[in-house]
Order: sequence, then structure tokens, then C-alpha cells
Amino acid sequence: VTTPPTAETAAPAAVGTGPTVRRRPPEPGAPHNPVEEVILTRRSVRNFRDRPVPEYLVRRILEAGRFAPSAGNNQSWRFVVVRDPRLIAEMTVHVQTWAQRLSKLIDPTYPGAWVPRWWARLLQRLFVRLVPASMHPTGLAGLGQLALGELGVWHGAPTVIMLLSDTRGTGKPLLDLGIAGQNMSLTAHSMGLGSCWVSFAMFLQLSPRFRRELGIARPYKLITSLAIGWPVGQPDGYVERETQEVLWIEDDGTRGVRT
Amino acid sequence: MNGDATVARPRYLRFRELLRMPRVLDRPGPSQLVVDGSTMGRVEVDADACTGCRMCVRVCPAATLEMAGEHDVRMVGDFAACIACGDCVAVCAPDAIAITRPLRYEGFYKTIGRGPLSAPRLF
Repeated sequence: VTTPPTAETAAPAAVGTGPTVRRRPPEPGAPHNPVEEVILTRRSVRNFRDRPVPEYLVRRILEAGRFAPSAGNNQSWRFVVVRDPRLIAEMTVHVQTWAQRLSKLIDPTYPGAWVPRWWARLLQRLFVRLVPASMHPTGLAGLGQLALGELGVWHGAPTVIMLLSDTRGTGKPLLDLGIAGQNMSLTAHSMGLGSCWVSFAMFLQLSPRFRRELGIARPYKLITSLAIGWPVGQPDGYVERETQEVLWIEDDGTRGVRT
Repeated sequence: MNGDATVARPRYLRFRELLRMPRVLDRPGPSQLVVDGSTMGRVEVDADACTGCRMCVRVCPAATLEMAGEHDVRMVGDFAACIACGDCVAVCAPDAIAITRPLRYEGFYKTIGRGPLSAPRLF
């Protein structure tokens, strides 16, 4: 009688061995393979069950992040796992407070705005050139909804993974962090968990208390976070997206845009 | 509506569009920098199929959906901040929701190089 291995007794994967199933290209028009299916049906989950994620699953997700590719195998990231519901609740209040302060500063239509309309327009016209990514209408709407309580922060997720980037990393450390994060997100979805990228978490850096509690110190910077938990219902599924124009340059030199 | 499959050349951002200032819209709720002609996403809800479970209202990241009745979901007001992410489409058990229009910006944030909506295709 052999007992199946548990999280404590399982041996690590044998180094140098290949995948357990020989991978082959699909026939034209064949259905999506399991990896494609996880990628294509992954939806951001914003409604979590009040049920903890077992430690071994979180560790498995972190392993997927650990083996992400990075420039020069530099691995310029650091992960912080927060599973304390009290701390997550306090962090949520902090992020919402900062969303309210920023909304009052830049959004003249926000209730109780600190700035007159002309000043807000000036700020917007200046910042839209200096930091266009931060002034994008979609992000500003999210900030306002966060401030008004219409949008949650971690949406009741029992586990939050903070993604920190090493500012001394080679190449593009933020890109490497994103690749590691997507590895973890897809791994979570492949296990029936749900995940959501929450970059409003960066407001936590403004607080000495959370910098201390989360261990955010130079050379690390908090960039984004992943909410991970058990989804309510079945949020993963195929949806429609715009097709994207892609320039193809063929072997005979012909060029054309395909969507 | 936003480009088609046989575009010969990507439509890059023109200099004139770069200069165009975003405009703050007067409307209740969070303000948005949008230039006239920008359109937010749009979803259509099949009222007959809707069971009134409110899942779509819970998961919408843009607070775009609200209950119009016991078994009826609609988009809020005359300016819904829908980003056409499809989370409501995927979470809807009776498949009553469909994205009918993608997000499209004009001016500085002009959306370029996008074709019509499509589900993941098999090649």
C-alpha cells in the first residue's frame, strides 16, 4: 500500500527531466489546450468567498512566480504574502483614504473637492502631459469610484500578495515583476482560485506604518499587488475583445496588417 | 465599428490629436478626462434571460450596472464608465449579457489599431 505524497513528504521535481507529457503542436482549428484555456478564460475576480486559501496553494503559486523569466536571470522582485484579515482591512481603509484625498485634489466634481474647477483643469492639463498614464480617464474613474466606495480594493480576498520591485534590477525590472505576477495569477486560476491585479496598493508606500509592517524598504518599491481567493460563482470564461492590428512581414517581403 | 479587418496602414495618432486637450465632463460621480466623440463600452442585457442574481453588479469594476427591477439589470445613468472588460459577461450564469461596444477614446488618448470585437479564435 502506497500513500499519496502530501505537502510535507512530496519530493521536489527532478532537475533536468522534461515535461511529463510530450508536447506537440495542435492540428489546425483544434480546441484550446489546458494552458491556452486558463490564459483565455482568466477574468479579474472581484467577488471572493470568506474562505482562506490553504498555505500549500499559496506556496505553489509563489513557486510559479519564482521560476518566471527575468532580464539576466536577475529575479529583481520580492513578494510579501498578507493573510491577516485585520491587516487587509486596515490597508483597505488606508488606500480608500488616499483615493479620497487625491480625488479632492484633482477632481472638481468630487463631493467636497478642495480645488476650484479652474485649478483642477490646470492640474489636469499639466499632468496629462507629465504623467499621461496616471491621468488616463479609466484610471481616474477608478480612483473616483474607489474614493466613493463604489469600487473595492482587494474585494474581500483572504490572501494578498504584494509585488515589490528591486530598483537595482537590470533591464526593465517592472516588466520582470509583471511576468512573475502573471505566472502566479495564471497558476491561481488553473487551481480554481481567482485573482485580481490591484495597483492602487501603491498608496500603502505613503505610510511609514505600512512600509514597516510590509517590509517595504530600499531598494524595494511596492509596485502592485495580487488579490487571491476563492471566487463566488464562476467568473472565469471566454469573452469578446477587440482584435488588434498586427503588422506581418512575410518571407517574400510582402507587408500587411492583419487583425 | 473601430477599424476593420482589411486596414492597409495603422492609423497613428496625428499631431493635431496630440495637441487636443482633454475635457472634464460635467456629470455626477467621478469625473473623467474625455474629449468629445469618445465612447465608453456598452453591454446589453437580455431582460428575459436575467435571473436577478446581481452577480454582474457585484463584479463590475466600473460600477456601471445597477438593478432596474427584480429581474432586470441596466447600465447606470447617461454616462456609464464601462471599460468593456467582459467580467459581467463571464460571470453571468444564464449568459444574458453581451458586450456590444468596445471602449474608444478620441484626442490625446485616441484608441488606435483595433479591430472589431471577437471571442478567442481558433486557427
